[in-house]
Amino acid sequence: MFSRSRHPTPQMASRSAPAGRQRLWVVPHDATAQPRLPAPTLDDSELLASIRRGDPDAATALHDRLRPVAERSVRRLLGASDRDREDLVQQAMIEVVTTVDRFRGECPLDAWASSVAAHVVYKHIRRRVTERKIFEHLGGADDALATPADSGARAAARSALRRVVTHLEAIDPAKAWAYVLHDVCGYDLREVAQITESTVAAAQSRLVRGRRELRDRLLADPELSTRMKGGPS
Amino acid sequence: MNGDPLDDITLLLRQEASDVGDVEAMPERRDEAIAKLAGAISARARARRRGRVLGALAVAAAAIAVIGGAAYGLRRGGRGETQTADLARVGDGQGVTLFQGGAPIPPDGRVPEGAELRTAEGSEARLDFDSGTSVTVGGGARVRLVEQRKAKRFALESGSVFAKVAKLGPEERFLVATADAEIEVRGTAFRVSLVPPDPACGGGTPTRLEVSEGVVVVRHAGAEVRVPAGDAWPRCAAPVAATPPKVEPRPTHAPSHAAPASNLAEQNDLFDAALRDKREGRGRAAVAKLDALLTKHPHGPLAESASIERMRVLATTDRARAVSAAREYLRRWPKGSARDEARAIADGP
Repeated sequence: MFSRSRHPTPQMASRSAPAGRQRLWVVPHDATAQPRLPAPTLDDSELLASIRRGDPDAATALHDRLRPVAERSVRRLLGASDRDREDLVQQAMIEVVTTVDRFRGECPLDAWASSVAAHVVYKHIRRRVTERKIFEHLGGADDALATPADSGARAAARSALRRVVTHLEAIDPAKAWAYVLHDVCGYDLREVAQITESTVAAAQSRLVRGRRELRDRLLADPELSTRMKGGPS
Repeated sequence: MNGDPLDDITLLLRQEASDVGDVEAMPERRDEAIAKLAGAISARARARRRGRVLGALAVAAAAIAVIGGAAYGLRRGGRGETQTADLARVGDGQGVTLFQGGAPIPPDGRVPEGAELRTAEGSEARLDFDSGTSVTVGGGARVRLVEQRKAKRFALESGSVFAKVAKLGPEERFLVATADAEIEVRGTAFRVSLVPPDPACGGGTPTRLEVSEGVVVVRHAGAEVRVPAGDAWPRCAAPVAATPPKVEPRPTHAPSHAAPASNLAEQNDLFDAALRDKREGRGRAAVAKLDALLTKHPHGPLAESASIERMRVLATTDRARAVSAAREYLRRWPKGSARDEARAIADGP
C-alpha cells in the first residue's frame, strides 16, 4: 500500500535498537569514550555569512555545528541503524548549504536545519523502490534479545507500540506523517507543511484527521485499551 | 493513563523518538563529509556568480519599474501600504555590541533588522520601540532582532531578555524564539532566559519563562501552553536568579486601552479554569467557562484565545458547533493566529 502511495509512512528509531546498548558492560572508561565533535569555531551569524559568501573554509564549522542536528532528525524518523542514515545526514547538510538563502532567521538555526533534514528523509522514503517494513525498528525482533529487566513493563510498552504501528500503517500515510511529525517529533505546522511539501492548512487538516482516525482505532482495539488501562510504562 | 489513549500512545512514541543515541560522537568519515560540504559551498558560490550576471539586467529593469512606480505614487499623492519597520533604539546600553552580517556596527541610532546584539557580563541594554514596547537584555546575552515590523521576532541564543510589551494591534505579534521553544505574547511583561538544562525539569529544556503581567503562550515540543501572570514555565523550574529590571517608564504614543488589572485577573482565572477542564477531559465544562468568558468580556484581551480554545474543544466533542465556532472566529479575526486551523475545521472533512 505505501509503495504505491504519494506519501510514505514515516519510520521511527527504536529505543532498543541496537539491542546491545541496553545492556550494562564493565569496561575501562577510556575504551568507551568516543571522540566528540569539536565546538564550532564560528557563531551562527558568522557561519551563515561565510556560507553565503561562498567561503569553503566554513565547511568544518558548518559540519561540526549542524551535523548533530541533522543526525538527530534523521535518526528520529528513520532509525539509528538504517543503512542509508549516513548518506542522508550528508545529503541534509548539503541541502542546508544549497538552501541557505531561504533561512531568514525567523526560527532558530537548529529548528530550520532539523526541518531540512526531515524533508530529506521524507523525500528519500518516498523514492525508495522496494517497500520496507514501516517502523521496522519498533516492530523488529528485539524481544529475542531482551534482558530480564525488559520483560515486564518495557516489553508491554513495546508490544503496545507494535500494535500502534499497525494502526498507523492502516491510516492514510499523509495523515500518519502529519501526526508523527507534529505530535511525536515536535515540528510545528509550518515545518510540517515544508517537510511534506504541502500547505499549512493541508497539514493542519491532515493532523486533525490523523489524530481522530488514530484515536478511533486505538479505542476500537480491545487488546490495546486493556494494556493502556494498566498505566503507561 | 489520563483517559485519552491517543495522549498515552503519543507520549510513548515521543519517548521512543527522542532516544536517538549519541549524535555528538565524531563520525568516522568526518574529513570526507567536510570536503563534500566545502565543494557544495564553492559550487553554490559559482552558481550565484553566474546568476548575478544574468540577473543584473533584470535588476536594472526592476529598478526602473520601482522608480517609475514611486514617481507615479508621489504624483498621485497616495499612501503606500508597505509595512513600516518599528526599529529599536538602544536606549541604555554600556557594554553592548551590535553585529550585522557577522560585522560589528555602531550601537547608536536605530538597530537594523537582522542585527545581533551582544551584552558583556554584568551589563544590561534596553531596546526601545516607538510603539512603547521595551526589551531589556541581560548581561552576557546574545539576541538577534529577526524582524521589527508588525511582527517583532527575537531569537535568543544565550542569556535573558525582559520584555514589556505595549498593547498590540490585531495584526501585530511579539515572539521570542529560543533553541527549543517559541514564546508569543499579546501585551504583557515577561522574562525569557536560557539556563543550563535540568533533565528532571521540563524535559531538559534550557528555556525559562516568568510572566509578570498578562498571558504568554509557549510552544514547545509540539504542544502549546498558556502561562498566566505570576506563573512560570516550566513549572518545576526554580526562579532565574536575575530580577526583572526596573524599566523606566517612558512616554509612549501607544493607545492605552487595556482592561483594568483586576478585570484581567478575573479573565485569566476563568481562562485557566477552562484550560484545566480541557486538559482533564471535561470538554463541556471547558466550553461553558469559555462561553462565560466570551459573554462577559467579548472584547477582552483573552477573547481571541478563548475563541480558539472553544473551537478546539468543540472540534473534539461537537462537530456542528465546532464548524460554527470556526466560522465565527474567522469572521471576528480573519487574520488571527489560528485562521488556518479555523479554516480546516470550517471546511470540514
